[in-house]
Amino acid sequence: MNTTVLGARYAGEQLRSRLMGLGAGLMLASVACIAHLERSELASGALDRSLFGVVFGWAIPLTAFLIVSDICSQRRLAFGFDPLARFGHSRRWLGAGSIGVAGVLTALLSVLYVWVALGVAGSAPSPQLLGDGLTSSWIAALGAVAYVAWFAFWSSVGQNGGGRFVGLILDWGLGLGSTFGASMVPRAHLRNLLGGLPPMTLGQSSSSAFLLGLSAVCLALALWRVDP
Amino acid sequence: MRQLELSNVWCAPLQGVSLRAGSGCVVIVVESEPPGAMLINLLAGLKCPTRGAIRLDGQSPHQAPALRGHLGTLLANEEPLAGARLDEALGRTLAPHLATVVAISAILANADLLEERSKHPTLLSYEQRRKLALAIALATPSPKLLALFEPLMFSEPAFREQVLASLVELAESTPVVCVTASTRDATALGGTLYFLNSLGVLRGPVPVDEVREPQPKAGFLVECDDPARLAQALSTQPAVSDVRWFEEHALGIVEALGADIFAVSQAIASAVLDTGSNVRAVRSARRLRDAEQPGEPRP
Repeated sequence: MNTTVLGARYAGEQLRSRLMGLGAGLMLASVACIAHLERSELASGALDRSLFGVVFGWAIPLTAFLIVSDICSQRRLAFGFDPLARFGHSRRWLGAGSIGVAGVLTALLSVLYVWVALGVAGSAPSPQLLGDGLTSSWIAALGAVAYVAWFAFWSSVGQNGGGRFVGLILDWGLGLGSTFGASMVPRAHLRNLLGGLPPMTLGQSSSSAFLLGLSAVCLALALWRVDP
Repeated sequence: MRQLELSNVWCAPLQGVSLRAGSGCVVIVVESEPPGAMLINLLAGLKCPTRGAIRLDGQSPHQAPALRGHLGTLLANEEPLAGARLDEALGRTLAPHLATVVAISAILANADLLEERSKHPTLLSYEQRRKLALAIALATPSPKLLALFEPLMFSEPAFREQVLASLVELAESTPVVCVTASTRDATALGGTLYFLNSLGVLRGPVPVDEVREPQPKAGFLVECDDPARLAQALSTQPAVSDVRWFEEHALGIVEALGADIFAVSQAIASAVLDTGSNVRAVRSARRLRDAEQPGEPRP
């Protein structure tokens, strides 16, 4: 347990870098700019287009990708823990702690993206808008956790964690469709939860369960592939 | 008794390194840094061999975190510990049984860093980082192995002497593997000597006398069943400049000398393989010559 906390603290320190702050800031600015453009082009449906497009389309996956890359020190998952592992700490538990921190941070940022999009592209404040915001927030948080687990697993593939890029490409490539392949990546399920095209005609509750299952499987596989 | 065993370990640039050691000091003299650094990383459990196996008390250091907690290591490239203050970073990094206030103070005192305890770890110099890593390694509770890269390469003679004394004491009960490029340090450490060339090939064990006082003609005495045949095979080897054989108490001995001790050992190995000789022992020629009585006849 102590090792997991140590991994979490270690990851927290790594994520406190200026580069990470800059990345998150740029992502927020992009979300705000694109949401503003959507609204100025056509006010009707601007919020939906912003959420489908910039927030869930690339801001959340890219944030998860960057954060997981950072906790892996741009290498394979848990390779960055060697300075601690040499003193008897388990890489697996260190990895678990760091993935936990990555999940929480990505979820917080994702919720922030949702509210920024809501504030910029949404219409005047109303209970309806607030409800949309709350719904989108939990979907964003769930998506963030799923993406972190997804990229954590792919970070354990390849000598230097190059599998992360495969994960990103697969998500973008397969997630656009509605076939069986789409049901294997987070993007299609998030789109379904937002009210878009479902993968394999799955219901929204099924997609939520799928996302949770996908996160659990990816996390378990990622930790299993890390050397103890 | 602690037992370290490397069997046919490959991990670039190491090529098929095999080594077995119990308690005592094993000194590996390296031609260049990369193979030595990799060997220490492997022993520390930071790298996994691509082929072959490393076993310490039957466990792989890479796969066993609990075992790594009992390894004292000094790497070729010591990175700063993560943390805002040195003592805090130590307390966080070290395994729970070492991370007590007393142990941390003792480690810092041994590394001459007690006054730097509130410093940021990244502000330590290269030598200070090495001193700290060595102090941690020497403080390892019930160590199962010490794997140290250049453990005596420190600018202060007093610190060097202190380290040497600690290593000699620890080597009585623990395998201590030291990697060094300095033959002076190698001879000071003593124990069993090996040579690791820049291609990552380990040769040895080499008698310590050959390193202490290199002879113009170094060589080996090979005890075997058929000395005449082996001597004939050795005489055709270019690395062997002088070869003689004799029999003592029904024991065949071949003496092979040459300018390069490695080339001679290589020549003996290939001659033994070619002739299929049954070799009982290989010893330093110099050591046996020293032991001989003056004037003892030889055929």
